[in-house]
Amino acid sequence: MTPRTLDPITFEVLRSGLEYACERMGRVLQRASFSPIIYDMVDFSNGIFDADGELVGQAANCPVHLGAMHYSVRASLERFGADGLHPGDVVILNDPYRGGTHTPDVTMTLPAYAGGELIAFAASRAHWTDLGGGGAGGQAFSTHIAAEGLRLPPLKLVEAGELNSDLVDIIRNQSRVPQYVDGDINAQLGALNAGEAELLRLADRYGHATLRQVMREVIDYTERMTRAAIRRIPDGEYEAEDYADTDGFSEEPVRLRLKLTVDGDELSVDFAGTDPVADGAINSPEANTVSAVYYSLKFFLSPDAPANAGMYRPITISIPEGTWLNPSWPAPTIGCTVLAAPKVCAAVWQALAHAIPDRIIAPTYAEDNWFVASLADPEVKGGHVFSDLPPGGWGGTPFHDGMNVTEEPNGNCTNLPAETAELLFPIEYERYELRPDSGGPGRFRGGLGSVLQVRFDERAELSMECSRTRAGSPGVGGGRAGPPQRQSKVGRDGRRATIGGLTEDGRWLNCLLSNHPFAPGEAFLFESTGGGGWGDPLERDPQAVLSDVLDGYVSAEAARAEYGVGIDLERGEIDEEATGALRATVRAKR
Amino acid sequence: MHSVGVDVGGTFTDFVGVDEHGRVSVLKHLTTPEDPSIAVLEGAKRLGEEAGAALEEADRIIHGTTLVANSLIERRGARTALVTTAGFRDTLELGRESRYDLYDLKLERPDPLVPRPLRLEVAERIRADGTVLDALEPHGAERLARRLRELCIESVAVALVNSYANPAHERLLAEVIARVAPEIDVTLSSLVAPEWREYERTSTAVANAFVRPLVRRYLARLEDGLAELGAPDRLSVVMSQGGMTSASVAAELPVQLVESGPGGGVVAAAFIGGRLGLRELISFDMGGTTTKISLVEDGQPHRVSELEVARLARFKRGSGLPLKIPAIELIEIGAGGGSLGWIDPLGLLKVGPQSAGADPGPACYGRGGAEPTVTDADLALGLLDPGYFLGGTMALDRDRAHEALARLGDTIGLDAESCARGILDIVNGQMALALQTHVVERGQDPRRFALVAFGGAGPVHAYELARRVGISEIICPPAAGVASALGFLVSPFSVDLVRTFPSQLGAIDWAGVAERFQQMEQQGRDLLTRAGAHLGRVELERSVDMRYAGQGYLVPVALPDGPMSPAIEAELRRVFDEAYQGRYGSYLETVPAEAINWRLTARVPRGVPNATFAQTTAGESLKGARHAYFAELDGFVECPVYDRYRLAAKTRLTGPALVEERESTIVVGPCAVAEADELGNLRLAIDSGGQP
Repeated sequence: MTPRTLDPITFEVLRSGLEYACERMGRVLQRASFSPIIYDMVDFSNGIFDADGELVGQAANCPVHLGAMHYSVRASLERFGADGLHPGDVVILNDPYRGGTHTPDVTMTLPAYAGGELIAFAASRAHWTDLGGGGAGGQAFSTHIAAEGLRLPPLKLVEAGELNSDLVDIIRNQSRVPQYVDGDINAQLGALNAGEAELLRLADRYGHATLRQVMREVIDYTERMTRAAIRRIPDGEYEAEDYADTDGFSEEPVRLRLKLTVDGDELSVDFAGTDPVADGAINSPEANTVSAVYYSLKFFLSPDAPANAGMYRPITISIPEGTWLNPSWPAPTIGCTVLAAPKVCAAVWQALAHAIPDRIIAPTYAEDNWFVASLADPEVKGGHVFSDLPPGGWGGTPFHDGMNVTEEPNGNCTNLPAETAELLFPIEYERYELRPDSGGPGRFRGGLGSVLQVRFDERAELSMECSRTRAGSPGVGGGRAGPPQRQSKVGRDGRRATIGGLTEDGRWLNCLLSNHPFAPGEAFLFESTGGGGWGDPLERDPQAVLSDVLDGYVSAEAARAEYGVGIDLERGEIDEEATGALRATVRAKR
Repeated sequence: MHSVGVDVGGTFTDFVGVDEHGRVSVLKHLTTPEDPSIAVLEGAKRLGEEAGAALEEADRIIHGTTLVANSLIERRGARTALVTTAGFRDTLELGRESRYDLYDLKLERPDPLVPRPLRLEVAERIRADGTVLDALEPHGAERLARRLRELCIESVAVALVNSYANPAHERLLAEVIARVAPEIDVTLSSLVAPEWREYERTSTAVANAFVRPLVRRYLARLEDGLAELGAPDRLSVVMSQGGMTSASVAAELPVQLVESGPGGGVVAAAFIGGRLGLRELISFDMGGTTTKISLVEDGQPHRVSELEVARLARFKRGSGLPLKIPAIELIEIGAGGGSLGWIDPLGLLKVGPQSAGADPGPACYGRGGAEPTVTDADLALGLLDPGYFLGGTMALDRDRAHEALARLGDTIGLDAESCARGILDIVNGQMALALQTHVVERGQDPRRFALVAFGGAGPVHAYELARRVGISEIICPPAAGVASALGFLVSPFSVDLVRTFPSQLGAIDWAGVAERFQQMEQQGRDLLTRAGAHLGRVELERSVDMRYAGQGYLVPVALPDGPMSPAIEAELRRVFDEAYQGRYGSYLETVPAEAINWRLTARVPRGVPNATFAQTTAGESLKGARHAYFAELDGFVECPVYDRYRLAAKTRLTGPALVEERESTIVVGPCAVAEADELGNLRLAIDSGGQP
């Protein structure tokens, strides 16, 4: 007979055991995988779910997966029923409308049994390099999801220990990089097996009943932590909006609106007023939108509590059907994780800026800037798929300046090193550096964005999801935005031409690049935006402005115009007199 | 005197001397943080006087230093510049762009060692295959060298894109700088870390440049001081990989010294195990703030080719500076004797990673510490004797420990004893999980290993740790408090070299591989000669980091014997598949394999007299008895207490029992039998009846 609640020590020991199980799954996956986006960029997550499909624990890799994976486990459970699953089974899926979010994220779920009884699920989600479709990596930007590659409904990839090789054959047949398929499947299965082994070890040592009980209590524990944190946010209704520059077809921004309500220890987010389903690829299935809300809030709602379903309980999310944040088949969704989710996060943080101004930071660059290029190579039949996510900056904080060039909150990818990329692909990185003046001015400045320039030795076609090309990320509390993002082509002669975003003469070019062609010797140039500023830039310590100018983060011109600080460049000092006058002038102009 | 090992720690500088007859003498001297060489010289002198060991006769004085690590942590180094390929001066600052804490809004990235205005660019470009795309113009190089001089640079790192594939441009820059500005130290990334991935290679070169002038001056002071004591030209320095080299080589590649001290304990564990015929060991060093766990496989400490130092958040990967250098792998956990117990906002008991440190220390030290630590729990549960801590030189206050435990426990309805049991359960659980994870990830089964326990808290917790992971043998070596310095005495002269030269099995350019090994061998022999080794007995180990084509992570495998030709490819493929399967459970028959980094380790072992510790003293070894708690009995039991120094060889003790020595207490649990051996070790055999 297990007691009603476990003693705190057994609880803590088992809780950390579950946490380790998730971490170990991640390490196996990362080390054994074949897709650079998994092994070098760490775009994956692993979790443990209880027998009802409730998230118990998740390894911290990719926040955008935080509240979305249980949709996959549930879809698998619904398709086969608990009776239709058996030891040695693994269910695979990626269909955005049957438990997934966007096609490249492939989720595998393994039911774990102890003593013939289903005790838990281990699930592993990873971003695969390519599953076919109209553009490399699924980036096609059509108006129909069929263009985004192979969609797998819940299927048994492994049945009673036997790999379904027909299914693997179909997948391989669809992929532009069939050579990665077996390795990535193998790596994800390895992760699931590691998770299962850890679960069984715990069940063996502490008994099934205790393990099941600790799973319940871990969820309750997170719920209590979350409720306590919500209570620290003042009651009230807080509204915000943000937008995507385009869905690839529209000339107008696609908007989202939300109202965040705090009432005691409960919180709700309502997306009423959000634009209808978009024609293009930025639509976000419910699982993804919900997940975006969860991870945006997790920063404020006891980040140290185990990431699990307990966090979901005090939060109500309402997303009107038929909006671009809750679409249905056949709306395309490839941009949901990398473009829609950051916009949701930026809006949630802007709403919270009204509620907890002293704890909020200004929005980040709010974008993943995911590009995928298919590269020809005379020596490699089928060519290559080259992909990266050049980041921008994070917003200024109430404590210090924002971080330069750091992954968006929705993920935690690392970059693809130039030397790794150049070994794999016929390309040269020509620049990868900080972009001066890109941080949003503020009392605490937004972090800087980057400049990336890559030259293609062979023919290439590049697709990219992008936004913040009309204006940079907004500041909070009087902070300002940095310059917008921009995509360019640099010819063999070194001449630059804008291909997405604002041109020199003020025209805006569509920034969802779809198979944009590059001739051999041409280069792709991308300038990302920085984070928004926090607080009034005129209140920034002039010494901090001086050190920014000396570091080349901020130009002397911007120091005058944005911060009202005059710098004597020859002496490397502040021109005190000019500063007083400048600040008065800038203030007067407002 | 044959040789002396010196390990500089935070509080004490440890000395271990061994003479021609193998007699060992031990000394602890207070560290002088403002200039650690003072304590080293004072202690060396004292060792000569007190232990009657003549320093002048020592063949080698082998030193482990924390100088490099501290200099990087405190950002206290030379005025350093970085030279990069045009377009890449921010590589050092951009890093890998990820966050070390997923949901922390106050996060800050570590400051780069070289500020932006001192990061200079030069026009040149080499491709990944080593061919030159844009040549480096000599006048550009000269202009750069003059600029470095104008900027009053003391030390410069040169890190150009793809220089691992072709170092010609870096070398040309070094020549030009040496000619134009000979006062500036030059560090080349292609020399310090000739491996792919520009950020990690740049970071390593910069760290080397940053500490170099400091280390050179420090080692020169030490050499001078030793010469005054009549012992010139015999200073050796221990590197992170556990081998030693001369002061002059160390002064050129000081980044190699960053984990100079901690690896010594692992070398000692390997040595101690080796004398007992044991080659598969886990070294378990539990100190005041942290626990360090390392594997010894086939008699050699397990090594890695990359580590991270100077972390902003001590236990968070990604918060520090990555260094591509060979190092003994140390898994560090925030669990030590000083780790604090605390209650989280929802009433759960947690332990560490915060530590009470040495000051105020655990509550039982009576120096003002109010919160209970692991040591307080050990004391309250009878595992430690309040009257015999550090050999009785420091009295522990059991009442204060009890009060602190009761106060903490009270907030969640636990009495002092339950709170103490909880603290031990959690801290032992943490260590067991970390150990298990680490060993399993290496494709190994922890039950095959023997545990070598040292550090002040190691022997206290080893039994429970071993029981939890199914280890059946524990070795508690003598002098648990100076294990690192002891390890230095038995460190070999050794050098690790690497060349990145990617090629696919079936199409390997073996002539190219052989040429690279030849270069490395030549370089290795040169470095060993400069380290002071006699080249009669050079052991060479060749290995290669492999992967399946397209895979990201590399698996190191030993290069099969035989000529470097296609003839060994089948065997190479076999050992790789096997190593891969060991780690990931299966292997991929149809996927081509690639060989990426070719590595050579050149090693010259040092002959060391068979070290014996002072003979046991005669007299009754049983000192008394006390109540001690054991988890598997779920309660206290009356338990005999023995004096380790009076345990004659072959004495057998049946658990439960406690064996006390100056620096620690060995817990012999109810399922263990302990036996003292002739080398001064106490060996525990655990039979938990197959219980995991």
